Parts: sequence; C-alpha cells; structure tokens
Amino acid sequence: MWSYLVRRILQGFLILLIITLLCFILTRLSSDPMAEYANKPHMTQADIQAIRQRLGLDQPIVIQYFKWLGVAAQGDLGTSFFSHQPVTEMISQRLPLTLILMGTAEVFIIIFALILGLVAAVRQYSFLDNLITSFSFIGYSMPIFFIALGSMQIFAVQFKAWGLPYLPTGADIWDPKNPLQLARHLVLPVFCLVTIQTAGYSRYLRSSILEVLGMDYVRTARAKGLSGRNVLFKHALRNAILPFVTIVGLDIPFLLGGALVTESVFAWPGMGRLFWEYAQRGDYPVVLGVLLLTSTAVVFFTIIVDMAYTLVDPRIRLS
Amino acid sequence: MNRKLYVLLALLVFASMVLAACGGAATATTAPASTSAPAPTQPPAATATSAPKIITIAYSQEPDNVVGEYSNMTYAAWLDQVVGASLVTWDANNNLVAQLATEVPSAANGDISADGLTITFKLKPGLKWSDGQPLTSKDVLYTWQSQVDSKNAPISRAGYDHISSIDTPDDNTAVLHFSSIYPAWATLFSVGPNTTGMLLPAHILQGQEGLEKNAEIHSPTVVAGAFMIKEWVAGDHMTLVPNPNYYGGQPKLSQINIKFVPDTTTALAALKTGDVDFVPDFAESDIPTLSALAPAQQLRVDTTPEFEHMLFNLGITNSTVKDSTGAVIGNSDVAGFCPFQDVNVRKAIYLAIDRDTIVKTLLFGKTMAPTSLWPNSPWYNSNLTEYPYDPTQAASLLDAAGYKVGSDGIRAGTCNGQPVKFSLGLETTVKQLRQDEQAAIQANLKQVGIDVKTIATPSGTFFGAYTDGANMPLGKFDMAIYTTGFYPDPDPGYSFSCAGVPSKSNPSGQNNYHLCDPKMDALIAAGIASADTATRKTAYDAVQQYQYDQALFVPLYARANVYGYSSRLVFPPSSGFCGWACDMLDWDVTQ
Repeated sequence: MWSYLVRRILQGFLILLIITLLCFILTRLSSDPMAEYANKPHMTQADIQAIRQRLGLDQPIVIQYFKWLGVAAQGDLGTSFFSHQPVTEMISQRLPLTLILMGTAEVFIIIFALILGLVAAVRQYSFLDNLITSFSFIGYSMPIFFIALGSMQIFAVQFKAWGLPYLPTGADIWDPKNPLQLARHLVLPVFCLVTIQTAGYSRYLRSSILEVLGMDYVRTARAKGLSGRNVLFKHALRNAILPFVTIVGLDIPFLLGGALVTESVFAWPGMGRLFWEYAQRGDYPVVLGVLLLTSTAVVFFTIIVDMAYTLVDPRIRLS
Repeated sequence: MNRKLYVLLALLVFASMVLAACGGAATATTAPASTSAPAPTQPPAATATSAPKIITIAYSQEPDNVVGEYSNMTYAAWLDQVVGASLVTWDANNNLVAQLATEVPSAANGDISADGLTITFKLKPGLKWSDGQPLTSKDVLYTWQSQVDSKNAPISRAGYDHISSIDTPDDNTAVLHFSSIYPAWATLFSVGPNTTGMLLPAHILQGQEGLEKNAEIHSPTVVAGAFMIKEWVAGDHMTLVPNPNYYGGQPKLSQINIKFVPDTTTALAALKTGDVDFVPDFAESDIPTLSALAPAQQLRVDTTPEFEHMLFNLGITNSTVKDSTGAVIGNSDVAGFCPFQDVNVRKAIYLAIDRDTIVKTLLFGKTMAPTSLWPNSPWYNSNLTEYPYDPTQAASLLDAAGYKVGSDGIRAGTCNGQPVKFSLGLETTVKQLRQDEQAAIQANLKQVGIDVKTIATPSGTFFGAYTDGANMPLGKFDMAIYTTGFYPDPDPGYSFSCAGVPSKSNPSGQNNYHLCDPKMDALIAAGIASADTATRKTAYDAVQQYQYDQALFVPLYARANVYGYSSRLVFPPSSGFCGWACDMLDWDVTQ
C-alpha cells in the first residue's frame, strides 16, 4: 500500500513536470509577451530591450523554463509579467467565485443526471426516454457560447423589453457576499453549465443502469418477489452508480480551472477568465500557475480515486 | 402519452418562470458594498444633498496597473486619465492646454528658452493631492527621478532621459533642463494617450524602490485627478468616487463603476438592459447594431489620429546603406518583393485600391481615407491631393514598368534580371474587419492583374519579436495591414528610419517597412531638431509629401473610436488625442 502510494506520488511529480514543460512550450510558441509593445512609437528600442531583459525573455527558452521551475519548486509561482502581482495572490482572488460557480453547477448536474439517467433507463425506449435522449444530444452538441448568449438574450434582454422580471447579464455591479444577489447571478451561468454537462452524465448513467438491470442478480432479486423500487434502488442503482462516482471524482479537479466561456460571457470573475486573459498576453507565470494548480489537483484526485477503489470495491487490491 | 407531454410542457414553462422569477425588476445600477476603500477624505459636498449619480462603464480588459508609467494597456491609460493629473493635457480640439500648470510653456511667454533646452512650468497655487497634502513642484521632480531611477522599471524612459536636472526654486515652479532638444516635452508631464506623464505623489513614494511592484502603482490611493479609486475587486470591477481636493472642482457624477466585461456581446446586452451605461471599445463592425438601438441607446463615432494602412515590404536582402561620409546607417537582411522598389509599382497598387468603398462599406462611411500620417491632427498635411481610385491608370503604370498580364491573368516580368510574378501575400491579424479589408483589396488588385493570397496571423506571431521569429520584424510578408499612429507628438521615432530596420544586428528595430532611405532619415531628423511648433510643422509636411510622392504605404482609413451609451448619459465631446476619459468633469446623467 505505502510503496504503491509513494510510486504514484513520484509518477505524479513526473507527470506535472511534463505538463508544465509542454504548457510552457505551447504558451511561448502561441503568444509573445513582447507583442503588445510592438508598434508603440512612444517606446524606444532601448525601452523594449530593457523590458525583454527584465522579464528574462532575452534568454534561451530552456533557461526561461528552468528558471520558472526552480522558483515554482519552492512554492512561489512567480509574479505576473504585466500586473507585477504575485500569481498565488491573483489565483486566490479568483478561486472562491470559481468554486462557487462550478460547485453549484456540479451539484445540479449530478442531481439532474441522476434523475434523467434513472428515468431514461427505467423507461427504456419510451417516449420519455426518447425525449430525454433527444434533449441530451441537443445539449451535448450545442456550443456553450450559443446557450450562454441565447439565454442571456431571452432571460435578460427580452424579458426586460417585455416588462417582465429579468435576470442580470452579469455586467452589472453586484456583491457576491449578498446571498440573494449571488443566487440571481448564478442562475444563468449555472443553467448553461448544467445544460451542457448533464447530457453526458445522464447518458453515461443510463447505460450503466441498463447494464446492471440486465445482470443475473437483478433478475434473481426480481424472482424472489422484491418490488421494482427495491430492486432498482437497493440493488441496481448502488452498483450502477459506482463508475459514475468515479467519473464525477475525476472531474472535480477541473472545477478549479473554471469555465472559460461561461465566465467570459457572464463576466464572472473566475479562474477560466484569469487563464484566458493572461494567456492571450503570453504572461506565462500566470498561465503556468493556473495550469499547475489544476494539474496538481488532477494528479491528486486520481490517486485519491484509485485509493478509494480499494475501500468501495473489495475485488480491487493495490498489490 | 398526451398526459405525459402536457406534464413535460408544464414543467418547461415552470422552469422558465422560476428562472425569470429569480430576476429582479428593472432597476438603476446599485452601488456595491465597499470592501477595500483606501480611507480617503470626506465625500464631496456637491453630491451629498442630491440623488447619487452613478454610472457603470464596461471595460473588456482589466488594467494591469493604474499608473500609466508602469502599464502599456489602453485600459490603464483610460483609468490614468480619470484618476491622474499632470501639468498639461489636450482639449476636445486636440489643443495642448494647461492642467495643473498655469499655462502651457512657450517661447512667447518666456517659459521655453531660446535654445529650447530649458522649459519652465508654473503650477497653479493651492494644489492638493486627494489626501489633502500639498501638490508642489517637488512632485514634478520626484516623478522625473522615479522615471530615470534604475531601481524602477517603468515602461519607457524615453524623453525623461533627455532631462539633465529639474530645479524647484519654489513650490509652484519647476524648471526642466534638457541635455538636448526634446520636441515632445509636452508628453512627459501630461495625462493623455501615451500613458506616461501622470504626476506621482512624492510624500507617498519617495525613498521606495521597485515601483513596478508597488501597491500604490498598481492601485494608487492618493491621486490628483477628478476621481479616486474607492474599491478594486480583482477580475470584477472598480469603483471611483470624486476627489474632494481636485483643482478643477467637483464632477457631476457621484460614482463611476468600471465593470470588466470581456465579451463585447455581453457588454451590448448589458447596455440594452441598462446594466451598463457606457461601452468605450466597440469595434467598427458594431456600428450598424448600435445605430439600431436609438433612441434608448446612442452611438457615437469619433475618428482618431490612428490609421489603418497597407504597407509594402521594402527590404533588400543583405543591403547596407551608407551616408555621405561612408558610415553605415542601416542594413537589411530581408527580401521584399523586388518590384516594390519601383515607385510606379507602389503607386499603381495605391491607385488600384478603392479606399472610399472600403470606408463606405466596411466602416459605414463613419470615417475617412487619409492621404498621409497624422489624420485628425494639427500635423496633417492637408495640401496633399487624394490618390484617386483609378485601376486604368494603375494598369498603365504596371504595363509601363514592364509587368504584363500573362495568360493566367497575373502580371509577370523581370526585376533585377530575375523573373517575378505578381502573386503576393497580404497578411494581417485575425480580426474580422481586417480580413474583410483583405478581401476587398484582393478583389481590387485582381482587376489589375495582381493575384493576392490573404493570410491571417495571430497578433503575437504577426507583431512579436524578431528573436521569436515574428513575421513583421523578420519581413516574412509581401504586403501587410495594421494600424499605426503618431500622436500627440508627431515624431514617428524609428518607424521609418534606417536605425529602426530590424536585422540580426538590430533585432529590436521597429521599422516594419524595412526601408532604409537617407532622405527619409533627414526629413524625420528635421522634425525633431526644433522645439518650435511652426518649424516642426513645416518639417513634417515635407515628410508627408515625400511619403506621398513615394507611395511608401497605402493609408486605408482613419481609425474610429466607437462608443455605445445609454440615453440617460450626458457624454460631452472628447479629444481624439486624449481620449474619452481625459475630462469627465462634465459627464452627467439625466435620470
């Protein structure tokens, strides 16, 4: 057990190293922090050269990476090239609201996926199943920006034009410490995230339940005269939900990364926007800081999920 | 089955109602709870007795720092203009006017010495910072010292390094001594488009090092502008309130909220719902949408001194240019399209592009096609005649230059003994408007036998550094489109000079035209040889005439600032030089 854990942790470090290296190369290749200083007549060539030197951009890219890595290894994610703020501070400012948005959405996604997956499986090939399947595919295949802008147009712009109570666009000034204001501003972004992600989860759950419902032990339970409700909830669902829990567990670390499109459309001050805004400017300390956080969480949760398997499934042994 | 359908429909309707019920009734923008107010002074008396006049402005990007000396962002410059103040600024007609100074220094009033090396600023009496401390010439001195101090890392030291010393004989007088003539002296202590120039409070910052990381630079608590920062919630919004000690009196607005809204579609929706009152950064392509919103929302388009232009790659491989003494003044390691060295080829392309139609169709006729640098500016040479759209004359010029249309409809010939074909790349960034411009130019040039391949490149690869292999400095293009502008001071710096041509030996060069022309160098040098405005105007007229005669680039249109705002907002005229945020004293709301 302990040797397995140590091995996984060491693997995790190696994975993080590779991820940061790849992300560093991609960030540096796709955007240049000096690009925004180009074509600025009020800046001299000496000014531009001084900035390059100060940011260390005049050094070979390998040196740049290892310099960043050396500092990051000491727990310091560095400072932003542009705002000069510590990256850890920038992340800590954005993380709480991202967790609120993503956490709320995840709860609703799980609830709706459970209900829809269960109904679709139990009523297989019924009108309801077909309807849920159709909506799932529509939700799954629809671009989130379309749902986000469409819902904003209907529930904010048009509702106001029609004189109805309307939801905020997110571009207003509001206080997240006020629960009512927070709830109002959560409605549309959560609605979008739920619409997109419930579809995949519910399809997965439907298949899993249908597979279990076809098992011998379920048939035996029915033959013993147990009610349909007992068979479904006490025997089938418990087993069918296990792989679903695994998937949800592995998705949790991605909540830290936020939702780039949803946060941008609804002006939600979260991690996704932080990442995107600074990636566009080639500010790699911020970009790598966000990526390192989410990557570490993914590695950590993967280990936790693997460990949890041994607790919930006696067939699995770490040895 | 029907029953289930009804139940489902009822559920959908219910869900819609729940969503809507969570919404509030139409309300005015509310003031946020303060979480980090920097303990300023008392609220202004002028607004205490009336209903608060609060507006919300949408910024699509969050500034990195507020103090412009340490930021290169337009969004930071706008904030800098609202909360900062300096000695001079520009009015709505682009005239240089006094701000904290009593008057603009000039030779006539004796504040500029005969040799142009000493400039005296006299400050208005009784000036105060927002914390009530006196604002004096010591602050002018400190601002300069902080800019040239090697322990700080401002964005640019340009110009400040021309000052050898500043004398402060009394609290209201600052005498600037220049080591050499610096014609753009007005930009050094001004709040305007160049971002640098905001005065810094010596009593707060004196003795501190590494100002680029200082919290007072990131979000100053002590300012001299009309408004001051009450709150900055990272990633979300800022709140500005009037500075009770502002020299110019109290603004009509009691609060400005700046909300960071990255998506302009959201900003437009918020403008429609009244969540925001002003959006300063719509694109030209948004003009028809905004026009349709009247009367509830308004559109205003201000043309600017910046202009979109199409440039030719004029580089010559491994060329070296020497001056009359034989000294090397520039070299190029870039291979431009050989026929571009012929002025008649450039003129032909200029004549073949229907710029007026581009302005009418892509810019909805809201701007103009200039003839040279410095449109919408006192430096513009209005004596130049428009190059007409004349594809027939263009074809004649190309024929005369020896480039005939082949059987495939594309011109070809020889240049310096080498066969050449007019199958050219036209590169720009991924912005949609630019891609539309590419398409229009492609169609125009096809008519005269020039085949154009349009290339859209991310701005980082397009503009980036020479050492990173970016296309502009490396000259990896035939023709390109982007915006440039030289204002408020007209000096184009190294953009056209031999010393600015990027090469292995000069990787930070900014001359993307890759042109090294001693005559151009001499003309530009004449523009910065004097601090006298009239002398400089003559010199820059000559620069424009030469560039026009040589058809060094094709000016496509003057860029426009596209503003969308609610009808309740009183939005006074603003300066093309300084921008909408330079003077917000008279901004108001009517309801």
